[in-house]
Amino acid sequence: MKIYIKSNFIVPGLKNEGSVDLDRAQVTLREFLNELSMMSPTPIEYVEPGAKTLNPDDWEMEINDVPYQNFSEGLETFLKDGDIVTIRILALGGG
Amino acid sequence: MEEYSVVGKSVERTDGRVKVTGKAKYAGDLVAPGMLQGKLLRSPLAHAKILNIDTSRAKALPGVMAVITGRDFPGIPYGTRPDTRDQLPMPITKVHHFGEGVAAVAAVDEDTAEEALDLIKVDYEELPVVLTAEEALKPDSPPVNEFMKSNIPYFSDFNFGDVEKGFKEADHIREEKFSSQRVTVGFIEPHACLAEVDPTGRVLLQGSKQSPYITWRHMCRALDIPLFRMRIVNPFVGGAFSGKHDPFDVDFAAVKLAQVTGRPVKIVLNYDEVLAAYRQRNAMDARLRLGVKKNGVITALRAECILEGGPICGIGPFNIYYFGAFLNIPYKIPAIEYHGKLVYSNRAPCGTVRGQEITLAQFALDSLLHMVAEDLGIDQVDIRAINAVTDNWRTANGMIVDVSGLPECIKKSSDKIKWKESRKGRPPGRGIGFSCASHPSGPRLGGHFGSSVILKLVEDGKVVLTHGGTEIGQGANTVFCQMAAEVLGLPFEDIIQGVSDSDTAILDSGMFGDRCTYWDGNATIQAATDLKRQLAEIAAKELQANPEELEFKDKRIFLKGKPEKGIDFLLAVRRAYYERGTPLYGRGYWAATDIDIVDWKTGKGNLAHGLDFIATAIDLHVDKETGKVTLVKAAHGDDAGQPINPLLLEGQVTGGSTHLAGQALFEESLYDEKGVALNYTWRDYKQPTSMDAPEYVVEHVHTHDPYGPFGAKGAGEASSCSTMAAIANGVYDAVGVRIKELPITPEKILKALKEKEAR
Repeated sequence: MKIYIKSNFIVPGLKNEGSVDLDRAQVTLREFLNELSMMSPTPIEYVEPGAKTLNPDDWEMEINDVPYQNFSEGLETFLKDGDIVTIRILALGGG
Repeated sequence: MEEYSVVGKSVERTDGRVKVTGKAKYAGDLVAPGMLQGKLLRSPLAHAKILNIDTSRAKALPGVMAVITGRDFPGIPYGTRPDTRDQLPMPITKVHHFGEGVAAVAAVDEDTAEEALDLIKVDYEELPVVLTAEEALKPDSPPVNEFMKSNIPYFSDFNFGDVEKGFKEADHIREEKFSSQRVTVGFIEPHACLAEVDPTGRVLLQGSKQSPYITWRHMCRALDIPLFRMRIVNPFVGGAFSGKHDPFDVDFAAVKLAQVTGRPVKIVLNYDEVLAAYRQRNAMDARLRLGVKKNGVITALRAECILEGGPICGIGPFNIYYFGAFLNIPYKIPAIEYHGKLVYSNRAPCGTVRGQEITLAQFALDSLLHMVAEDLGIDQVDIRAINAVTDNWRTANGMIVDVSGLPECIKKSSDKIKWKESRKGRPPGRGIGFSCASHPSGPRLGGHFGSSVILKLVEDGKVVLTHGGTEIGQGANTVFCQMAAEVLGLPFEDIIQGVSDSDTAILDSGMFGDRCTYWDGNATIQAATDLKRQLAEIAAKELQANPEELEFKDKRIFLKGKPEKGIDFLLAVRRAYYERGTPLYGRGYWAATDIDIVDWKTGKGNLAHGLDFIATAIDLHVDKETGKVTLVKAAHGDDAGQPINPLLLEGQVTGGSTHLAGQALFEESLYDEKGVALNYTWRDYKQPTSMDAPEYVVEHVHTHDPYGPFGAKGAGEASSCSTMAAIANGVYDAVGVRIKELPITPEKILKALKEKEAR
């Protein structure tokens, strides 16, 4: 299955910019984000271990332009082939 | 133009008297019952594995209450962005730079704490050091940061407009390299804090922090405690200049020692520690290629920039972005290609310094513009006027300029410096240099970037103002009080500045990027308007009028145009408290929510409302015998919108310019070949004093920003962005040598003069 990614930053490890091909029929948002973490050459944690939700201080996440929190299954929502996951990184700081 | 009663007046700053009489309490002055003194043991090496830390002898010393190391923390990294978290409160496996804190002691007094440090034994295994960008970029470069495999933790590649087409259309193209050095920040008060833990385990930190919100959030993460378990209160802060955003080992150690001992712990650094081991400005290596038509119109720019930032990312990703983004302004450049890299090294960690890395971008761009103008035989003032950004301009990267006073700034600075007259003749060794710059009035970078203000109207008619920004010496408190007074029709003296306390004020994202006047200023207006609405309802009943028809002025509330039909402000306040039992609070919140947030991938976005502008002209003298540069006069045409307090604004402009004159001419943090800092005392590290400052002329170009409070823009950092190129260009104008590597020392000038004579 192919999941498309929209982001406001360069997602580390994403070779085929804009999408990820997965060798499985279905995947939850949590599993997908963990896949992304594993693809990264540098440590990046989208989902903190054991967390039921994403840390809202770090990330904003949408599935097909709908905030993931609006899906009743949250991080356990199943993604479909061709779904678009939007990842926005949040920064804390300034010069 | 609207007439204001308090805004636009140079009223006395709210904290002026307590500061100059020595009564203001800074973090180092704080005392708590049972307080212990903390000290940090620092690494003598720039890069080494920590094999073992034996604290047993220190712990056994009478009077020592606790000793901690990096292993006493949860080991959770923190950082500006979730993809660049590469810092720990204190190191666990290795040290990354000279002077890094490896252990901390709390004792009954400073002497005992110092003695205990001598009893801690650290076994190191020395590692090869990386000191320059060139070394960091080598494929076999030893990794500096244990959280990242590469020494290039961040990069930015932007493409705006058609660069190839731009260069094809150019009649003249010039490419040059520029570099800049490591400099320290230079605030007066060294890092200091007092940490306490209450019986429930809740932490209170009072520290010298520029952006308490940033400190609070980072610390709670790294200490693995929820936000409500920590309260942060800001005492007076003795300057910051971007050097006090982050939490440091000082803050973490004080909190951990307070947690371990159950007693308050204060740590006050000495300045040698600050200069050796805390925030500096990145060293830069840049290459710029500029295409220009015969008439001076810029057609394209290609830029590469490498920032060497020490062993952490910190706000480095923003620095890299800012360098590229602000090449788009203050000149109209239709096409820009940019490649930026942040690299690690084993020098002191970088944050930034006043003006952020716009200062470096502008040094390079305006130096190159001078060269190109000379190549084409175009006057230095004219080429800037030709390309200056004007009203309603959209830059190639998407920044929107609503109002630009830059053309007028250029005219005013060139008139005041007598540019035209100087071209007819000037004394030997004298020259004039120009540069322009723009700076955002507070960027919005995503996440929590709002500003909030709370006004409490006390029953005696005075108003207590608390806000989430920070007064770091720039005068924020004063201008907020002015704005509240203006809206409420009260004298300035009736607005009292409250304490910045996370329990009572909603912290905002901090004091950086010229944001407080603009963001918190707008929030102040909102809060005062909220309060005014509540009072108007009370007064309207009394006056049998419509609340919207009431005016607030001179401590009275009255019908518009009929001052005789009104009531005293204080009477309305009393009615609220004594007859209705209603507390009077005004709440205000503001954020630039309608801008197009920056896309870090493409670099596109509208960073901020309210871009302030400056044109700087510096008349200087170069002694050809010694190479010494003396700044004679600096004329700044400055567009900060509506000046809220002209005297404070002037202080910000001249302060920024003097500050960066130091980086232009002589400041440099030096290291030996092993990464050991060499000049970390004020005897050895020189910053400008009043003796180095020229005569200053600041001409306010009075514009009205449509989003700014009373039409104001930010202020304080634009002059720091324009000064270095103005000096470099002035030196060239004076003696005909171009120094492209900062600082422009007498030695470099003499060497260049010799080379010029030999040609």
